[in-house]
Amino acid sequence: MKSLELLIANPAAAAIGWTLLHSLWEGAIVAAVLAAMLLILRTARARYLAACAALLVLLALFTLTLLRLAPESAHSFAVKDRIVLVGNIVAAGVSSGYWRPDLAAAAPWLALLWMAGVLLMFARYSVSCISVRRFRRRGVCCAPNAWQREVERLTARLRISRQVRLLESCLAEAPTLIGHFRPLILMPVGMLAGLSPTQIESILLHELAHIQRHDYLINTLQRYVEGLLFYHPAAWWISAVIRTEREHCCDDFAVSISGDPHEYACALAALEQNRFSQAAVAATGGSLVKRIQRLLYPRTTGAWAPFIAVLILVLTAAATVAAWPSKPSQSNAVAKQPSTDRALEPAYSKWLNEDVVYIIDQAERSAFLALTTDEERDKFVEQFWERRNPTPGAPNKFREEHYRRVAYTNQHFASGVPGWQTDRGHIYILYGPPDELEVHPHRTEIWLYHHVPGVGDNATMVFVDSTGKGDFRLSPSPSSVGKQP
Amino acid sequence: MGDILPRPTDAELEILAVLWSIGPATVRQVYDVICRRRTAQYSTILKFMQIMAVKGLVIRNQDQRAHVYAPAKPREWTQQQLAGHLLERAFNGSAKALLVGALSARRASKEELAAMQKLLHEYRKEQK
Repeated sequence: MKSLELLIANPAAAAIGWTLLHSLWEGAIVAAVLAAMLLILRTARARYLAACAALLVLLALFTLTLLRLAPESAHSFAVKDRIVLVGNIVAAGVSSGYWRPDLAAAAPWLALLWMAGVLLMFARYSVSCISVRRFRRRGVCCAPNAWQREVERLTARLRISRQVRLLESCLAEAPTLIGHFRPLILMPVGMLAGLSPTQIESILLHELAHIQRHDYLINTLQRYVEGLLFYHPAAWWISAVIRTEREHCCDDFAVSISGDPHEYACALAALEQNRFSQAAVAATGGSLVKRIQRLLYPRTTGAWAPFIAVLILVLTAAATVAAWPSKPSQSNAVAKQPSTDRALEPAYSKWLNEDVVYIIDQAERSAFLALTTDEERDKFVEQFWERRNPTPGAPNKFREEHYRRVAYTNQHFASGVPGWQTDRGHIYILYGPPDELEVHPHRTEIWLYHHVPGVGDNATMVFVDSTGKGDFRLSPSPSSVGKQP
Repeated sequence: MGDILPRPTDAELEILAVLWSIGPATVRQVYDVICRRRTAQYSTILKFMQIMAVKGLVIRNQDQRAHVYAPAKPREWTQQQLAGHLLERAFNGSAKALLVGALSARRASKEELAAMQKLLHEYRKEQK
């Protein structure tokens, strides 16, 4: 559990989580634009390119968002999650009235789920690679010489420089292309004898078109992207469009050379019939039916298509614009905070992120970050201390004590990191010196507070120095903190 | 239906593939086809085919001087046997995602096949 908590506390987790959330709306826009373009574009080639571009844009947006968020959110989340780490003592102070803090807390967990999903997807991918290797070897035999020569002839005609091998396979259910650098066409065994030569030639042309267009390689890359964006419906949809249009491209190519769409459509239908169908799952609107329809009756653009396309684009643009002003104040808020941070003078930044980091509450923090001038900030700091002054008007005892504690932690608890950043420092700054202190020889310290405001009576905190280098960590033992009131 | 044939091994599957491809053949003919893809020993192929005849995977016709072997079962039957195997199914299923080919990985249903035939039929009628 401890390692899981550390993983969650990692700022990268938060950045990934936010990237995932942002990619949802980014993807929706990309998909809408693609949908509009598909309404206008008619040739398979253009549609294919548009879909490929859309997938690339989706991936690029994901990467850019991640890069933009990664360094910025680092600080705010590091601080935030340290607080979570220290036994949730302070967490009660974070209001749950907004949805924003909830999302912020969920983001690292999303990242964790995402990573698990990606691992799973790539594990599946590895299994696929192994099975493809088996596919190349198992139950294959050389195709008749005449067809080998036919493939060579067509390969030369299409100016494919790679050597293409043609094998018959008793495992392949349909003509299949394997490999990019050493392309191999697998024909179901017996099919070469079962179809007419012109039909086989057109099927071979289809497969060779795949080779010429580097489809095997592109399909593999596409799998990678799918693996990364597996959670995204838009990614799957775009990927499916690419797959469909890829086949259309090769269909068009085969027909353009053989010249007879009907013969080619018959060949496809015969292939499908050839596949032994054990338990055919009932489905309507199968892709092959559509492909054949498309081959036999090439459709022209409907007159209304451009208007719908424009409508989709306008609606998307409107939605984007409408979401723009609200975005920084809502979904981006947590991510934006640190960027404002950075604009702060070092002195103010130190005050916010070091001096008072444990005692400032979320609302005050937001208010401070919203300030624009240094005068306002000075005034804010003054008021901040005055609000906590036990004797208003008189010299501020609270403030003195606070800075004394900070100084104490830096003197006594520093271990690799400044004392105020350690767990002991955190607790010391919040609650002061413990009422009772037990120091055990086994690198353990037990601090007892008789009363902690907002936490309860007799709160015990156990610090363990597991490394032996003075790096005491608050151990999440059951005796740590009393019940919250 | 009571005849339970053993699952062919990889070497046996290769020989079966040749027999399905070129039809009933002698050991020499099978050997020639296999040799085009990889180096093989004639005696090994002969041995395998004799074992397969004993197992019942191929049927030996001894009418002529050179024995002619034919697959005992059609391709579809063996394919189904193989596909029924759980591991095989897992492997084939995951491989499909990486392959490209003339047909989609999903099989067409009966309705789709009928729809395709109808389309082709109508097209033929129109052309006449």
